[in-house]
Amino acid sequence: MTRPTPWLSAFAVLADWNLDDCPWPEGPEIAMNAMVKSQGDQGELNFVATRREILEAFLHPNEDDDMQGVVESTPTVQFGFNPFAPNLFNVFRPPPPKPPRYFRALVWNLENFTNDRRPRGAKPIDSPRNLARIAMVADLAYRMGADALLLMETGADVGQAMTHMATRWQAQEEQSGDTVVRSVEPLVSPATYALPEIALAYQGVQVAAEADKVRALLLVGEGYIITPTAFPALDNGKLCAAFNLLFDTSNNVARLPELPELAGDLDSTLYNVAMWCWKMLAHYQSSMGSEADHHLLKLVLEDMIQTPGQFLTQPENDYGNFHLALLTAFELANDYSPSPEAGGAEILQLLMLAWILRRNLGTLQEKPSISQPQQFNQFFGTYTPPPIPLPAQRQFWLNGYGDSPDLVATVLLVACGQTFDLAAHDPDNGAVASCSDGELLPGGLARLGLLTLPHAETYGVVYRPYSSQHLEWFFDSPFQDLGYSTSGMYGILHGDKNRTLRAQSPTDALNGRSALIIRFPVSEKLKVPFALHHNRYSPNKAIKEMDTEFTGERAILARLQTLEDEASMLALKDFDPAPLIVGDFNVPSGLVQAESGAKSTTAAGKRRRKLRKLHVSQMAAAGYVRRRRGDRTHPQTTLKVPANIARDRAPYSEPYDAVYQPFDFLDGEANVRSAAVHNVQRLIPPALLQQTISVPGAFGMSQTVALSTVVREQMEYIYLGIVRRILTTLGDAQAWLQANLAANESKQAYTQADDMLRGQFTAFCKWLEARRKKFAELLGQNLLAPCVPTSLEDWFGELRKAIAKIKPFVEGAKKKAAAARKAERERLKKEAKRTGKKTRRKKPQPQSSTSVPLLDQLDAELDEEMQSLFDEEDDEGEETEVIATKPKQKRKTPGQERMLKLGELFDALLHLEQYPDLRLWGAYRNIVSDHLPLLVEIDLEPGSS
Amino acid sequence: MPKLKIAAGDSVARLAGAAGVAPDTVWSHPDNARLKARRDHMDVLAVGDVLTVPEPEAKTQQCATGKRHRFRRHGVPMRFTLQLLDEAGQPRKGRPFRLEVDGTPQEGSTDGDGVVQVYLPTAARQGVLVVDDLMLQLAFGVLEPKSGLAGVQQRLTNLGFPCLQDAGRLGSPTRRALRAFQQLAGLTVTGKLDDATRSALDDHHTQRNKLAQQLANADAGT
Repeated sequence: MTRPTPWLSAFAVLADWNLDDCPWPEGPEIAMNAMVKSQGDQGELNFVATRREILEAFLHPNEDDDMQGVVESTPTVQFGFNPFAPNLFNVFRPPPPKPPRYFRALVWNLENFTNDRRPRGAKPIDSPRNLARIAMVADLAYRMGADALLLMETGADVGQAMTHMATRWQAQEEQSGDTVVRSVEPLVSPATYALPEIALAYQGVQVAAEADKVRALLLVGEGYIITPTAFPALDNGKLCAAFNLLFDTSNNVARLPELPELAGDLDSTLYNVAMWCWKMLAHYQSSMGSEADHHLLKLVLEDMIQTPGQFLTQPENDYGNFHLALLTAFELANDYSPSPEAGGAEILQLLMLAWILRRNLGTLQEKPSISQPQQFNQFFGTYTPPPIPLPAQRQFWLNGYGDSPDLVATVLLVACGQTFDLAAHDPDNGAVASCSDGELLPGGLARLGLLTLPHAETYGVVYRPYSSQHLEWFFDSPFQDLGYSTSGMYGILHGDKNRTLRAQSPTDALNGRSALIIRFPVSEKLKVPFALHHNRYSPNKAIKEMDTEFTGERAILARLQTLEDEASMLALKDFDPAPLIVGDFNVPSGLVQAESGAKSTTAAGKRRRKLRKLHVSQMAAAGYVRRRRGDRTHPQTTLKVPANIARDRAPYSEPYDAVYQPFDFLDGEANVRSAAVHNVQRLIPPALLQQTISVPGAFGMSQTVALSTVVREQMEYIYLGIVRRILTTLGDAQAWLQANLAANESKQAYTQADDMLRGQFTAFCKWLEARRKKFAELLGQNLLAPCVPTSLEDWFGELRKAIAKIKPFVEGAKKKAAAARKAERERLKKEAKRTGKKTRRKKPQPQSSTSVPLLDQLDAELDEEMQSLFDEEDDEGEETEVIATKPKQKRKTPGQERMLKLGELFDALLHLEQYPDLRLWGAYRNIVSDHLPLLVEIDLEPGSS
Repeated sequence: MPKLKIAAGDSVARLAGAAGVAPDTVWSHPDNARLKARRDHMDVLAVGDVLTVPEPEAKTQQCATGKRHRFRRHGVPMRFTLQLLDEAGQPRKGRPFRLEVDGTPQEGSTDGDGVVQVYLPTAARQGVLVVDDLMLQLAFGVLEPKSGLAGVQQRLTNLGFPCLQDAGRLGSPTRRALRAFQQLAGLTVTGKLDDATRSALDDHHTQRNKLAQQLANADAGT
C-alpha cells in the first residue's frame, strides 16, 4: 500500500479511502464581510490596520512588474538538465534534503481513553480494549503517514497511553523499510487548569518528614504507599511533638475538626473513633475542650476498656501494659478537669495509638520493650510509659477517601520525624512512578475544601518529527502562551489578568477546560500552530444560571459561548500566527449547518436559526470559519450507540468534531485540507485484525491476543446485548399479559393471545440462543462475511404478527389507567374542597394489573453493561435536540419504550448478521471511540505541481 | 551579414565556432555593441537576443613556396569550469569524475576546491558528469543572463535552491528560493527580486568558494 510521504498528499495517495473532504468554505469573503459587519466600521478599520500587509500582498501579489520588460521571452526549460555557461566559472550544489511539503495531523477524540475523572467507559490502560485501541490508532496513524496525533479525552495516565501508542507506531515505522526511519515521540499536555504545585518525592527516594511534606501528604490524601524506614519506638512525647508540628505548620490540620467528614458523632466504627480523637485533640490543643468533650472522652475510654477486643487483637496477652495504661487513663479522666495541661491530650494520643496498633500491628507478636526511660507525670509521678513496638518496615496505604483508616496512621507516622519511602500508587495499576499525581493532588485539595475541583483535562499528542532537527526546534523554541510563560512548544491556553477564559474558569460553564496550543516546526522559521480543544458539557451552577428562557439550550449555549470566547481570545491577543482550532466541540448540526429546503417557521426553528447566525458571526468576528464539505454540509463525525448503528445502517450522526480555520492562516502560505475518515474498512482493515497485542494474564504473565479476537468479542457483546434485550422484553410482555389474565379481564381474548405468544416466545427464545451460538461460531471464522441468515426473517415475521396482537390490550390498559388517574384527580379535588386541605394523591400501586406496562423494574435488573448499551445517557454521539420550546410529550416508561423498539431490535439483529460493515462499525465504536478521526493536511507549498 | 536570433544553448563561442570566426571577433563587432552593453558575458545570452555574426573575412597571407608553414586557428576550444559542492556546501575535493559529452568520455579528478575544469568542442550542447553518487546532466550555454527571471531561477537552482518547476513566473517556489538565498547571503529577506539579489546570485554562481564559505558561516552561526 502506498503511504503518504512528506511530499505526497494523503488525498492523492489515499484516493480510494473515500475521505470526506472538507475544503475551505466557499467564498471566505462572505465570512469576512460578516465579521466586518458584526464589528462595525471601527472593526473594519481595525481589521484593515492589523492585516494591511496581508491584504496588500493579496492585492498585489507580484511587485516585480518590471520583470515584464526585462525578460524578453521565456526560455524552454530542459527538466533534469542544469544550465551552465561555457568559459565562465560555475558553481553547483545539489539541493539540500527536500523540506516536507505536507504536514498531516490526525485529530481524534478517543472517548474516555484512560482513567479520567469520569468512570464511564474508563478502563485500565492495559485492558484488552485499551490495548486494542492503541494498536488501531497507531496503525491508522502509520498508514496515513501522520506527523502528529492530537488526542482528546485522555485521562490522568495519558503519559502511559501516549508512550504505548508511540512505541507501537515506532515499531511499524521500523518495519516499513523506509531508508530513513523517523522517530515517534509521546507528548503529554499539562492539565487544562493550573494546579498548585506541591513537591513530591517518589519511589525509592528517602525523604525526611518535614512540615511541607506532611502538608503535601495531607493534601494528596489518596494513592500513596508509605514505607517507614528505621522506625524507632514511638512514645507519647513524640506523638505530642507530631501533633504540635502538624497543628503549628499546617492550616489544614488546624481545620481538621471543622471538616464535615470529622463532624459526625462518635459511633462504633474504628475510623470514626480515630477521627474523633483527632478532633478532640485539636480541641484540647486549642484550649477549646468542653465538658461535653470530656464526657465523651470518658465514654470512649470506658468502651475501650470494657471491650478491648475492638481495639486490640490480643489485649490481655500481648498488650497488657497498654491495656493497663488505658485503665489508668480512664481513672485519670475521671479525676481531672479538661485541659491540655492536665493530660487530656495524652489520653487521646493513647487512644490513637491503640487504634494504630489495632489497624496496623494487630498480627505483630513482639513483646513490648521495657527499656523505655522513665518519665514524670503530675498524676502518676515517675512512671515508665508504655512502649509501643513498631516494625522496622511496614507499608501504610494512604487514602483519604471515605472511611480509609490509614490516613490518621500515616500522618501520625510521617509527622513523627521518621524517614520513609513514598511511592505514588495507582489504584488500578499498583505502584507506578508518578502517573496519577495530576489527579491525586487536586483530589486531595478539593477534599480539604481548599480548591474548587475543576474539570481539568489533559490532551495526548504523539509527534513524528520530520527530522531530529525538527524535534530540537520543537523543544528549544520558547513558548509564550497567553499570560503564562512556559518552556517548550506547547501549553494550555490561558486568560490573563484582564480577562478570564470562560471555558477554563472553575466557576464558569466548562469549569477548568481549555485548549492545548501546540506548534509543530516545519522549518526553522515556520511553525504550524494548532489549538486542540475538547468542549464537553458538565452540569454546574454557571450553566443552570445561564441567561436564556429555554432551559434546553443552556448546555448548548455553554458550548457555543466558550468556543467563541476562546476564538476571540486567540484573535485579540498577540497570538501570531493564529492557530487552526481543531477538536470536539459538541455543537450539533442544527447550530452550524443551514437548513436544507424550506426554513422552519416554528419557534424552535427560528431560535436555532438565530443562534446559528450568532455563532457564525461571532466566530467570523474572531477571524474563524468552520470548514465543511463541498456540498456545504458538515461531515458527521460522531457515532451512534451500537444498537442504533446496527439498526440504521448509518453509523454517524452529528458533526461534533471540526476544524476552524483563521482567514489568514499562515499568511496564506499554506493550504489546509481536512477530512473525516468515514471508511470503516480502512479504519479496521483485515490485515490489522491479524496483528496481536500483549495483554496481562494470570500470575503476572502476559499473553498474546489477536486483534480480531478483541473485535469479535465486541461484536458478540453487541449481538448478545440485543438478544438479551429482546428476550427480556418478551418475557416482560408475557408477564404483563398473565397479570391481566389474572385480573380476569377479557379472559377469553387474553387467553388466546397469551397461548399464542407463549408458544411463539418459547420457541423463539430457544431458536435465538441457538442463533447466537451460530453467530459467534461464524464470526470466528471470518469477521467480515455475512452470517447467512436462514430463517431469521421468517421468525421475526411470525413474532411481529404475534406481538401486533398485544397492542389492543396495551392500548386498552393505557386507556383504563388514564381513566383511573382522572378519577383519582377528581376525587382529590372533591376531597380538597370538602376538607379545605390539599390531599396527596396516592401513588399507583406497582405491578397493578391495570397499570400501564411494563418493565420498569426489569430495568433495575439489567446489568450495567446492558444499561450502557441501551439506556446510555450520553450527550455525545446521538442526535441532540437543541432547543426545547414545547413541553415534552408525556414520557413513556422504559418498558413501553422497549416494547416499541422491539421491531428495531429485530432489525438490528438481522442487520448485524447480514452486513459486515455494521459489525465493524459497532466494534469500532466499542473499542476505539464514538468519534471518527479527522485528517488535517497542510500543504506548505500551495500551487506547486 | 547574418543576424542570428539566440536560441536555448546558443553562445557566442558556439556560434562563432560554427561560423568559423573568433568569438572575440563576433563580440567586438560594431553591430553587437548594444547587445554587448546589455550582457555581462558573451557566452551568457538571453533567448531572443539578436547577434550579428560576421562572415569570415578572407585574409591574405604571404608565404614562401617550398617551405612548410604552420597556421593556428584562434580560440576554438570551449572551457568548462564547475565547482562541485555537496548538499551541505562542502567542496567535493579530489574526487574522481567522468564526463561524457557527445559520446566522448573524459576522466579526471576535482581539484582542492572541488573544481572540474575541462575543454570541450564548441559544438557541445549536453553532457553527463558523474562524481561519486552524483550524476549531473549538463546543458552548455543555456544559462540566461542574471537580469532576467529565467537566469535568476537557473542560478538559484544551481546553487541548491531549486525553483525551475516555476520557470517563467515568479510564483511561490521561486519566492521561497529567493527568500532562502537572501537569508544565506545576508540580504534583506523579502522574497522579491531586486538588484542586490541578482548581483549576489551572480557572484555566488561565478566565484570560487563564495557559496561554500557562506554555507560554512551559516552553519557556524547556528
